[in-house]
Amino acid sequence: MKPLMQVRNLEKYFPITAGFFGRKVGDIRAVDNVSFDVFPKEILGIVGESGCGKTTLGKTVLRLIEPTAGEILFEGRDVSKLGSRELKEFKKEAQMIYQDPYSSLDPRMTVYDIIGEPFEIHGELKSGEKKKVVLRLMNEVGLAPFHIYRYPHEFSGGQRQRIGIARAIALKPRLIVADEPTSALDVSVQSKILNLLSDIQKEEGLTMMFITHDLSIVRHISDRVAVMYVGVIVEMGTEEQIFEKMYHPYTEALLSAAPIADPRKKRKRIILTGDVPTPANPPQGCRFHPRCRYAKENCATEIPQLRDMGDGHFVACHYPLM
Amino acid sequence: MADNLLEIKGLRTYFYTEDGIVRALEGIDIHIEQGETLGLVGESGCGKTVTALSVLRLVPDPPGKIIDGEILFEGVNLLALSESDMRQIRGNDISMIFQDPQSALNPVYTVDNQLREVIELHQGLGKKEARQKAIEMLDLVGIPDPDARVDDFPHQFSGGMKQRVMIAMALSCNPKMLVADEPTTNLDVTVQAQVLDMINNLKRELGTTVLLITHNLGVIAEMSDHVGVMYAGRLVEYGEVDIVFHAPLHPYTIALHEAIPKVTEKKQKLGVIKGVVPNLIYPPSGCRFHPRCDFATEVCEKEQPNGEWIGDHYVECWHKREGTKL
Repeated sequence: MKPLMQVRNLEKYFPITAGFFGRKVGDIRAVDNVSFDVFPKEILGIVGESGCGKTTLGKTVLRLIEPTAGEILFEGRDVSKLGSRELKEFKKEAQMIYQDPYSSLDPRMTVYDIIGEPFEIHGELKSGEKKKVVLRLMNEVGLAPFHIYRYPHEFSGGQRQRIGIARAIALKPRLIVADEPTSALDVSVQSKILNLLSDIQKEEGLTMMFITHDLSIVRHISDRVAVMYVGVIVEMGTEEQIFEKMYHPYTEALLSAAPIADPRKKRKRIILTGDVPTPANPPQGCRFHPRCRYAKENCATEIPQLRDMGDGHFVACHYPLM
Repeated sequence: MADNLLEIKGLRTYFYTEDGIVRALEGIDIHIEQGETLGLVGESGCGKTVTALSVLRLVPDPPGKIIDGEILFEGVNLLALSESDMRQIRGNDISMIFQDPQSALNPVYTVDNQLREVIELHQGLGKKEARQKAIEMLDLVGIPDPDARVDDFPHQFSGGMKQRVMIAMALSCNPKMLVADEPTTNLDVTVQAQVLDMINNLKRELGTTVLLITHNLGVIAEMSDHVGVMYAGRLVEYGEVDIVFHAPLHPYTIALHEAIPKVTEKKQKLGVIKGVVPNLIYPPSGCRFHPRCDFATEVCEKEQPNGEWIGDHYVECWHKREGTKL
């Protein structure tokens, strides 16, 4: 199958400045030489701990922030080189759902304005049609029609996230990047939003990048999973490959650390020492080597490349687990 | 039956707000056995944090007020103590760690300063001895190079390290009971694993009894001996962790289990609970869960169900789901 999006050697560095004149003293390498494909109609989960670059990656592939280097090929066209008119067209095809349903909606706009805004920007509709379309979208995400002229503060977190989803799917995009869409929600609300997202994904044939730090959610929703650590993808494969036959020692430790909601299943936890390193000063060689219990000498000097172990299961490690 | 370190009887805590009276806790009965970990689980607004604050008598007043009930700690009713006696209990006998270590530590004082304050106040040690004790505590909670780190300010520690400092502070007077309110909610999974592991080790070494409050069923399953499930200001189910996870009786407990995705298997579809959490100014009549319950009948709407003990297992429901196997 031909990929919908091919990301090649993508880099996003943020400058660290100091002093009155903002002299540049270094870089935060939020995303550092990342390559992957996204296939049509799949959900690719991106999982990692805070500061691993997963949100920056999501925003960069949509060009909500400008990449430092690398290519983002969307159906063969390089998104990073699009001019402003072409970029506007691209944004019809690729949308984002944000983490925080409180700060991502304009408090002075009604639901009608918020969900209708994409049509205003892209001039898609005749004036009489807008209300009908907005009501159809509200129905699709489970909002009652009488909510149409209400403001965001009148809604609960879960309902606000539904408004955000309706806005994202309004223009029938091909790709949606969902950044931790349920992390601000209670479990009973979370399950409704996750079910809604997977229903919409199936019905509309959407492709989705689902960013989260929660391993059980990523397992539940994803077809394929990419595991990130300090700006790089360390392992990528199908949900089953990652959760049952992982190759990378970080994936192993990460999974073993996730608490299991079943007192009968106790697994041996691998307790990693130390904290996640900062992307401003990542370790030399393999970025995981100072915390890796299998690390050997060359791990400290040679950067492992992401390579295919067969069956599309990729790993970046000199000594993958077998 | 083992000795109960803490017994809560008929606890009612209300908040008197401009919009009306929030009935945050409406009659809670629960006990904690000596040396065990009791997990309290529920969604936001269910009253789990208010329970913890009530035990320490830290409910902000106004607007909050404990209006009824008893909290017996080693047989002494904490609610009848004077404020100065209560201050002796806090820190010495019961101490608390909060969800957000960032805001619980004072940013303008060093860790040494803040830890010493606790130790000097409660144990009457001199400055030098207190500093030595502070360093020992930091070492105990696994902070590397404690001799140097003790002079750092809170912002120089990472999130996981700050939570360790909080735990060091809470344990520095060797309390009999530790109340931990969402201690790992803001932490990354690998750091969460470190902190949970540490709490378990300390519990084993020091014999501390733990009241653990969290919304995360995974953390509950890994840490607790007994579990209490709370909903809208009521304790709806209580029992041994294995029973509550594998043979629960309350429809809410069952629905919660079905709503969470699991890291060990891939579910096709997650269970949902219809409706939303009620506003506790106007709580539903009868059983507070009835508007969202799939099994509700007329009696649920009219009458609050009586709690029922089946051995060590407590449930509060008119239609308990006997024979459930999860």
